[in-house]
Amino acid sequence: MKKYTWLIVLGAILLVVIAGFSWYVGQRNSLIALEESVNGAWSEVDNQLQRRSDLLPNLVATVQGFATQEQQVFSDIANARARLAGAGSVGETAESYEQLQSAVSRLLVIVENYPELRSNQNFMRLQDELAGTENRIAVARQRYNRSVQTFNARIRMFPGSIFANQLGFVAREYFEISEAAREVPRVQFN
Amino acid sequence: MKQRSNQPQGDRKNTIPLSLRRIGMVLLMLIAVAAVAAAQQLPGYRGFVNDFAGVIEGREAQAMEQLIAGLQQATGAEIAVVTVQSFAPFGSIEEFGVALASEWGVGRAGEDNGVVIILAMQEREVRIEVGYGLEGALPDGRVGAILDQQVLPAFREGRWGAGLNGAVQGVAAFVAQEYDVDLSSLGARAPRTAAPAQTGPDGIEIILFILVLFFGGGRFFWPLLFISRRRGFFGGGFGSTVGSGTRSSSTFGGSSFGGFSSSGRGGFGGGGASRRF
Repeated sequence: MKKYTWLIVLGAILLVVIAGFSWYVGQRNSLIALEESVNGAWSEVDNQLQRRSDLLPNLVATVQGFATQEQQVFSDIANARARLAGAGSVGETAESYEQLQSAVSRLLVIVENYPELRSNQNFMRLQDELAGTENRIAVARQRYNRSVQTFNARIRMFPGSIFANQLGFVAREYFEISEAAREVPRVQFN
Repeated sequence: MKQRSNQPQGDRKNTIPLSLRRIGMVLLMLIAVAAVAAAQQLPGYRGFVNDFAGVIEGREAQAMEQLIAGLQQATGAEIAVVTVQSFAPFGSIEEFGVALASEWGVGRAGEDNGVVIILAMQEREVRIEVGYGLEGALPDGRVGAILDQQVLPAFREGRWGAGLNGAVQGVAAFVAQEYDVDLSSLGARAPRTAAPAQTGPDGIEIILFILVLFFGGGRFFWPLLFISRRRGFFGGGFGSTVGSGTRSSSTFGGSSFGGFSSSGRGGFGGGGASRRF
């Protein structure tokens, strides 16, 4: 009888250890998967921001052909682009994106004064690309924030909170922008 | 109250801490509520032509259906035409477009070759939403040209069906060109002064597409989740919460995993163009 008791106790301990280990591995892997999805979502935001930034020299060149005296805005855009390219953290990126955004909207206000520019085929196409990219950024931003939310909730809540810290998982930053910068610039050709 | 007093007993049996189960339950409930809410906001898919606003004549709907069916047969790409009275409660036609296109999953999985054409009557706005896989054939500038030349003129005269038909014809022409097939017999035609094949960002687009394919794709992370879900003995309660969360959120407008559709259908990232008329 005694032999069996020992065997049962040993088996139970072994089972608990194996189960615990397996659970730990499962938790860790799903945290890794979640973090990767945050990284993936961020790289999409980054791609779209890059694409947005790359479009602007074309737009500026087209507008410059018509509106030569608006140098201030052109240099603002160039500066904002440089800042965006140099941005490190998510917060910095969001901030420099907002600056770029405000420079671009000033450019679009100027464009209103040049009817021949607004009816320019090349400009119309660029406007569409700009608006489309803007929208892609909005979608990518939303997806990124959603993945951050899932990830952050996971590592802050029990049981993820037990080992998230010691495994080096750190809560990620949301990509937040102001209401004004959220507006998709709209083209109205009549 | 009765239910609450019963719960702890059930928990002890399952050897999962009470707090853990509670959190899991709350998450599951939130997800279910969100999924139901999203499903209520979006109309259900009927076919190639979804005339919820009732503004398309039968003859025109038929012409569009024929062309779309021909396009799908020849290229696998798919177009859905949607008319609604209003896109509320969504904030903009762009938000509505991505949500609807992702929910319906227009286009083939893996190829993401769907296009959704949306007309909102009250807001007087029209949008062509382009799936990831067709962003090369239909850069935003071209989509804008289709809207300007083949859609808006008819819309200004109140000929909704004719305008939407123009959109289908323009989209079909560019997609057919991309796949190197001829659909002009079915009515496909491009706008007269369309953007040249390669505008500025097109080269970049291809690189971006590849980058997205490697880094942004939900499909590639989904299996990881699945594995982790299977591995843990007791991770099941939690792992499955995460799993169902990603799936249901990706159906309404794409979660982090919706970059490419994890639900096995065409994915959308916000490409296309919109116009007010």
